[in-house]
Amino acid sequence: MNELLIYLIFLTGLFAVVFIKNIIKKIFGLGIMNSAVVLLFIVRGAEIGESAPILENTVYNVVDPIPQALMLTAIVISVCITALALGLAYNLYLTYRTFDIDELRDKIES
Amino acid sequence: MRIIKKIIGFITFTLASLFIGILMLTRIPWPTELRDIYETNTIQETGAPNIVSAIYLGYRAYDTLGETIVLFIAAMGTLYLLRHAQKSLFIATDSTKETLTYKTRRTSIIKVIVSKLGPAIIIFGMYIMAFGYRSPGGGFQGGSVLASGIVILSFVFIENKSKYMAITQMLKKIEVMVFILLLVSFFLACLQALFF
Repeated sequence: MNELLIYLIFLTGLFAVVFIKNIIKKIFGLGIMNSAVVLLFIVRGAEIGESAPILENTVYNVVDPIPQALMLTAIVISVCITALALGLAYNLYLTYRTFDIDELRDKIES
Repeated sequence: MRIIKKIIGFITFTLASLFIGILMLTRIPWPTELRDIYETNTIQETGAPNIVSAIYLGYRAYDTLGETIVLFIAAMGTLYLLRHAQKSLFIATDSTKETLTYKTRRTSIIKVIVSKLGPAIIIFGMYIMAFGYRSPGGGFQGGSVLASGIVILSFVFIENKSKYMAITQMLKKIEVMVFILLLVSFFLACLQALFF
């Protein structure tokens, strides 16, 4: 059930990237896809335990710490991608005064 | 032409969603061996109670170093793009050029909220950085909370003391001080490892 909801979140991001014409919304779609992947890894890694992976006061049956450590990296890379893409979109807007990709294509080809 | 592109987009969306759906919805039992290894060995090998921090900064520190390089390059690229945005080739004519007046777009709502919320966000970020080593996720998100507080404060000019966090010269001084502290702590740790 969790995986189905996360899959729907991922599809939302993919739909935004493929179909929506606005560049800013496409970048939001990339962020949503990344969030879905992060959620999937955290949820699947938490299936084998119960408590947070902090070893104090004789905690046992912890969740898998590997996906959490890797998803930290993924979050940072997502922030990098978003910042760079927003910078490029800002440049495009300053040059062509539009965010719509169809208008952009017309203005570039003309 | 547009219809062909729409069809191509639809096919791409369907195929990608099928592929990702098969990947996401198949249930394979998650392996527990690595978890057990980390659970039994982390305290002896690294001394850190937080396993995520131990992995992030100990077992896979070179991954973190590479990730830092990626973040640095992305920040450089973004700064380059934003700084040279005005100088980039300007094709639109002057008639379509809108005048972006920043003063008319800033209402006092932002000012009031930022002047109340910014210092609280900065204090919360410092709290997470100081005590995050025994909370889930480590102290990494404290840095991002602190940075978001500084960014929020730099939106508007505020009259109280927290305006110093939005001045570039002050931020440069803080950066230099933190770097010197880092070097001093590194040398102190080296001395302690050598002589005591």
